[in-house]
Amino acid sequence: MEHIAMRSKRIRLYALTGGRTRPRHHLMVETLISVPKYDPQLAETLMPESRALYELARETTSIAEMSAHLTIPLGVIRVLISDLAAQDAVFIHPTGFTYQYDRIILERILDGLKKLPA
Amino acid sequence: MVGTPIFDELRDLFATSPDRFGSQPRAQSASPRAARPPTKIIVTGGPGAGKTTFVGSVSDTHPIAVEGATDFGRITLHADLVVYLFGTSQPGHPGFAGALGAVVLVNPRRLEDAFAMINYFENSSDLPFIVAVTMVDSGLAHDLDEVREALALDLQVPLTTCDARDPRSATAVLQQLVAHTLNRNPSNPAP
Repeated sequence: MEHIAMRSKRIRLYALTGGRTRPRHHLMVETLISVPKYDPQLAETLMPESRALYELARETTSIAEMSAHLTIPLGVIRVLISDLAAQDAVFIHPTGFTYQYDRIILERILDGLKKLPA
Repeated sequence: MVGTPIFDELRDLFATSPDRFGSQPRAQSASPRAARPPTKIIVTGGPGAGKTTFVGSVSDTHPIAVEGATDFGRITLHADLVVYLFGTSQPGHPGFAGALGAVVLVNPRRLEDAFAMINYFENSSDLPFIVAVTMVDSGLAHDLDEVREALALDLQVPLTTCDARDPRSATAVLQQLVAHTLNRNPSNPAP
């Protein structure tokens, strides 16, 4: 029974993205998504899955966490987020593809790690 | 990087001593609002080297398994400073892009499992990395010099030990990695 439910959910998600698997934006698992200006009227018009993403992103959230939260595969999350971004509903935070050396940040991270409660 | 030096300074001061500003430090779960890209550390190594355990022991949250064989975790250091951990055993995984560095976990009983990953970092990547030998219950079978020799590991690459189950030990490894990245002042900063 559970198996059937999972399978039908998968089919449904696939239908949701129109079979598209390639998002228009390059979204990595750590890419952060936020909602610049929450619009309840827009929220009403969204499909349930997109709406759930939209609500989640009211607090800046990573792609991986969205996928885990909603148990929606990453590929589907990427497509849906791309669609939301195309409507300017969400903001895709820049993700570094090349690490930019930044001494201040590195020092802060090192300091933060040292202060972590064990 | 935009932002003025004075702002950065204030932000740092606030981050390190929030009490001074008469306000409560923000909750641990606060999401980063920073404009800069997320900071990411790769945790890698052969199968059974302890990647999932390592990511789990240092993350705020349970590690999230993403796309099969990868683990994703998060450490919130300050309200605006979050480090993401990305665990994978695949050399050159697309998730490596943009990371500040990598920890290669090595099972001392199966050193050969780490060869492919170390080869990758030595020959095909500029990513700073360190190697951490995960200790089994009886401690380390070989001493670290022997391990270094067996791995043919360059002297420039820090080599340490780690108990992946112990958050303190895993955090110490991350500190060594960040210190290593910090010391590797790039002669050719990326454009």
